[in-house]
Amino acid sequence: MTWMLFWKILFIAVMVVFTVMSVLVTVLGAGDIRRLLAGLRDDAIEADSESADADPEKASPIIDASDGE
Amino acid sequence: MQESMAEAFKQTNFGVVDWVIVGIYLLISVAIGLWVKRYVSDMATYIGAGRKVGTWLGVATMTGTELGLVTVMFMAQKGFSGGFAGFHLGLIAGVVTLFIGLTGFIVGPLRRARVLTIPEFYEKRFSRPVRIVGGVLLAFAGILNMGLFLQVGSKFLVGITGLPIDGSALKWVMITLLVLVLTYTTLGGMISVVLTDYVQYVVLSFGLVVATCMAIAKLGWENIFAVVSVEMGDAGFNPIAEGSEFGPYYVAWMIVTAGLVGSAVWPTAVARALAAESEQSLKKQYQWSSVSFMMRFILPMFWGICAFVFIKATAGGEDLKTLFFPVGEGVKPVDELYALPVFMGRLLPTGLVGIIAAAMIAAFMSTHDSYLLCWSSVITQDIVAPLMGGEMSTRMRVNLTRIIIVLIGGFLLYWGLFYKGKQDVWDYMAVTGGIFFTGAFVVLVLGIYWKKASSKGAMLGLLSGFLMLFGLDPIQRMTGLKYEDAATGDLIVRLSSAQVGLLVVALAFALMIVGSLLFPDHETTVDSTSSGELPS
Repeated sequence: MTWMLFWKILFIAVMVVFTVMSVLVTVLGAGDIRRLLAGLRDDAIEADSESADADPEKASPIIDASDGE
Repeated sequence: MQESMAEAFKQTNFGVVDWVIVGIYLLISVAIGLWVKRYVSDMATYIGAGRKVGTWLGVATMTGTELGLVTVMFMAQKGFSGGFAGFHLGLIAGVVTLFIGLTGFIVGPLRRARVLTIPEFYEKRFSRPVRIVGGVLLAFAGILNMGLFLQVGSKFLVGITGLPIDGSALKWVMITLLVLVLTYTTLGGMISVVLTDYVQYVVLSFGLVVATCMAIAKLGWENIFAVVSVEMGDAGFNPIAEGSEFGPYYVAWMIVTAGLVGSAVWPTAVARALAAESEQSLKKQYQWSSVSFMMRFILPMFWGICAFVFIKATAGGEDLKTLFFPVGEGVKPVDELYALPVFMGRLLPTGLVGIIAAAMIAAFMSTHDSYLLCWSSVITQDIVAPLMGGEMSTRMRVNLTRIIIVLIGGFLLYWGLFYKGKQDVWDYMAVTGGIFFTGAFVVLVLGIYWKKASSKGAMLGLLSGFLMLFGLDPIQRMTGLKYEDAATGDLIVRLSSAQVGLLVVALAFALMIVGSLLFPDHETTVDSTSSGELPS
């Protein structure tokens, strides 16, 4: 097999697999985003309520209350 | 020359519609940064997205980060100057990333150790001083490594939009892009990074496929190979052929850099591994990403080859031939980094060129945000916090990280405007990154897989990375490793950057092994809170 033929086959294979993968990542990645945001929202609410319970003076300053859900 | 250059660069299909598309995309990116600010509750969320990144989002964000505009530009540059022979880089990157995905080599134990950064691993495995020295080296090399990102990315925009390349347009494009990326990175941290990476992935992946098909349709599949064959001969296909710009040492150096380091040691890639929700997810992420890692080199390189064919062998590129391949003594060619954007500006129709430009800006921003976040968090977590005895509140850490991001941004602007090295961008990056990764690769491998590795050995291994500075073009010229022959004007290279890199890796292994045997640790420093996986 010549180098030229080898690179031709590799290039076509990469294009095909990458196209299929792009469709998969687009669809399934959107689901991952939904789960990520839901998890972070729960964490933020939990951290907020825990710090408020423990000491209202030291409630987490990073969570912007005005941005709350 | 200047006039013909300005005239040639103006011939782009980039119009008002395309500016609108780019503007809308930029607004969406900044809006995401503002919107996700509400989710930042602690440092783990800010720099690790709360370790909740699923497999598919992980693939998108890993690809989004590693397929930056700078990657597109320097790979196109490699394709433009080296032809298909450069494809070996993609092949190496893909095969090695797949190997890591199947075996979990290095990244598996790192994920099990539940560290946020590589230097944090150094402390768990060795000692706090190793962490601090590792952090300093990593930050120094990493920031130097991204020194040309802003300039190279801005050159793409200037080239594709037809802005004048000899005026102050480049400077203003650099400033605008920098301000935008600083805004949403400082606000949203890793969460905004993964979300914008996803958007980038979707836009860019389809843009890549469409633009590639259009380039093939325009130039002809067989014709592309034929022109490279005529113009470059065997060296255009065989990376170790005589006359190839690569050679056996270069290929060996790429197995280390584009392969092992690029996927398993380079902190911005590893940051995704450390943010994965499980080790299983991490492995799957690497297996799928092996395709993107191969593609991120091969497709842009193919575009560079197409730009070469367009300029060399078509009537449409006739006016560019005298600019990029001037005949006559003393006439300097136009920077070949401009070849790709100018070609794309002429190839793609109005509307599509705007979408591709937006995708490229997305690529630019997603790389910048990840790199900025990575280096700034290393400075905060691995240098400042350990020096302060770990007594820093979450708020202080996040705010310090934000300040450092802005300071690094200032450096990027300065370095992009004033650095005058002449080596290819990819080679510059391999050398500067090598200051960190030559030592880090050795320390990670031996730290994870060799029980006798000691703190002093690790320190020696890490510090040997500074020798990589001898691979930088200005330092090579200064020290006589590279010089121009006075009689012939030929460039004589006594020790190439690739050879310097391979020697430094070998030396780092030797120093760490000898140092560990001569100065063993008397007691283990493994953190009892770790999963017990270190050392294996």
